[in-house]
Amino acid sequence: MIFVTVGTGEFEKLVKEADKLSEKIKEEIIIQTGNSKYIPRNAEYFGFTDEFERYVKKAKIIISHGGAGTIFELLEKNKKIIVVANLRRTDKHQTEILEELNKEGCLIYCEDFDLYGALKKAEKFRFKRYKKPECWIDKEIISFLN
Amino acid sequence: MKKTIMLVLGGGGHTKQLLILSDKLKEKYRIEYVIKKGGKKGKKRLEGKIFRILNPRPMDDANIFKTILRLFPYTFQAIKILAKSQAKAIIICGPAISTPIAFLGKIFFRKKLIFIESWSRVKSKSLSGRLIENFSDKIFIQWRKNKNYPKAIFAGRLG
Repeated sequence: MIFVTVGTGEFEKLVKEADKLSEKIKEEIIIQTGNSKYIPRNAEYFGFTDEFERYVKKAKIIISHGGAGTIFELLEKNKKIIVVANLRRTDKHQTEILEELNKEGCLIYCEDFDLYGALKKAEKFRFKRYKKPECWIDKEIISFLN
Repeated sequence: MKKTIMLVLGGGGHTKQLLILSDKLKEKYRIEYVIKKGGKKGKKRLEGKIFRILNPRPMDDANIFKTILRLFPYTFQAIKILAKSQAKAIIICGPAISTPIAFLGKIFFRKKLIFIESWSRVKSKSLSGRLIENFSDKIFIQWRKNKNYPKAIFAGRLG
């Protein structure tokens, strides 16, 4: 199964392209559409779910919006991900982190919305494991407030 | 007695970052949360006091004039919240629309202001950062490469 997620916002274009993709391939596609208005014709879909993790676990490949929260979560779970940036969000900042993680080989950044091409690439691609950096922001805050 | 801190949850990934942080801080502090009214996924299990505040810029209606109009009731609510709050410090992580309450807290309620630049900012500077930088007592960047804040420190990344 291929799981597509757009997060909490709306991302019409990704939903549309994912729906088109499901016409071209045999693999089952399930789309989490968030607040998008487009209704998929071929793929299975839902707006929001409490069982996000179950879908993630089941998915062979995940096609995701570029929200860093989702990306880090998926990378930590060692999932193979194809990411498209939602350029309508604020100031296009999603591209920055995607370029960075793409450079590190942790994910496939699909800039041109050619999901079919990206999927073909993902089948052969050797995804690098994401190394979660250490975090001591909490300790800095504690010592600062003391 | 534990000290109290206030976390202003900004929605989506902004909320996610602060919830990761709150997990690390909840042993040490009492935590107050400020969340947006009418959020679709507002039912997260938060331990601690929860204040709700009007969202001046909902995702489905980002009209700038309406946002400005909504800032009036927002400010009123923010002041009410801050008057009740026992927090020593306010921690925010964006987006820009979460900055006014932090600003008010810093200026009128003498709270310490801690700004965490979002993990999505590898090199660039967020609008929140531009608005709040000069009022912040402490700034964290989450990528070493981000050179936009002379007084920021890097202490790892939340994700």
